[in-house]
Amino acid sequence: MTMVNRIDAGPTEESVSAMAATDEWIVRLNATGAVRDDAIRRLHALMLRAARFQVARMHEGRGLGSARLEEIVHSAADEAAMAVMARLDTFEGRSKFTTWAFKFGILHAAVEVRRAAWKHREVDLTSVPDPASDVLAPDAFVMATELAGAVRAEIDRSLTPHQRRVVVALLVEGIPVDVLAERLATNRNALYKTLHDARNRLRVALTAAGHLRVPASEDAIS
Amino acid sequence: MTPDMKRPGLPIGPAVSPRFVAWRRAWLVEAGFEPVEADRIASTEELDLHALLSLVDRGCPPALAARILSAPERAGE
Repeated sequence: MTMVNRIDAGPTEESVSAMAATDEWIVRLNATGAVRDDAIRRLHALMLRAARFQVARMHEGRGLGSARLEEIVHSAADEAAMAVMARLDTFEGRSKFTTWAFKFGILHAAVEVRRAAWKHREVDLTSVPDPASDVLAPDAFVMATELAGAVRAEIDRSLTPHQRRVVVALLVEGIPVDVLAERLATNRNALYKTLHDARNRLRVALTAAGHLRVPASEDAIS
Repeated sequence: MTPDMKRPGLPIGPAVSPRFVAWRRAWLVEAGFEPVEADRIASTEELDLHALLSLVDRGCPPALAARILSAPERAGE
């Protein structure tokens, strides 16, 4: 493990102290018996703080109720603590250990809140929204409406049925990709691939219909 | 992980919302699965639905796609 310090100034008292604290975390978490158990308890407490912090700032969780949110905090802290332990050997010391570990708590809490918030929601395949008329000038609104209509038509015409379902779920309904992946018992990368392919099809179709400009690089070639 | 969230591969237990299963079933029926087959697939997490529906997208008949992606022991039943 390394801690980068400024060469000209040398390590400050503060950085030495942070390095020592980080070393202590790593040593204790890699120890055995009571020392390790105590370190894991402290790590779990840190993950609880991180999860509470994240849950409190996410608007998606506001309708879930305090009991469910507390359940989510504990569940996320459990998962985050296990993730930190599994990745302990990848910690490179580029930040304080607690800063590095805190992010695991944040990430797991965010995923759990999104999952919970979307758990009982359904996807309405017909709901492709119109552009917001109150924020656009009339000419811009007409153009935006035309483009929205073209996008809607190409979603129906150019995409395969499953591409269409995935696009509507992720881009129109705004279902988080990890939630959709869980519902379909698949993984995020597979959905990203489908989304990428679908976007390419839409871009080609909208460009051919004159709704999008030909990219400069393709212009130069043709 | 909360008790009512299952890992892929485990059957969905009673704690899972029927709406969740209905949501999966709707995608399957829309893709051309027979209702009985859609019920069976939607109520378990044995199959990767995304892979399954992608196969159907490429022209594979739904029943065959389900057999292709089923576990070997199930496919041999």
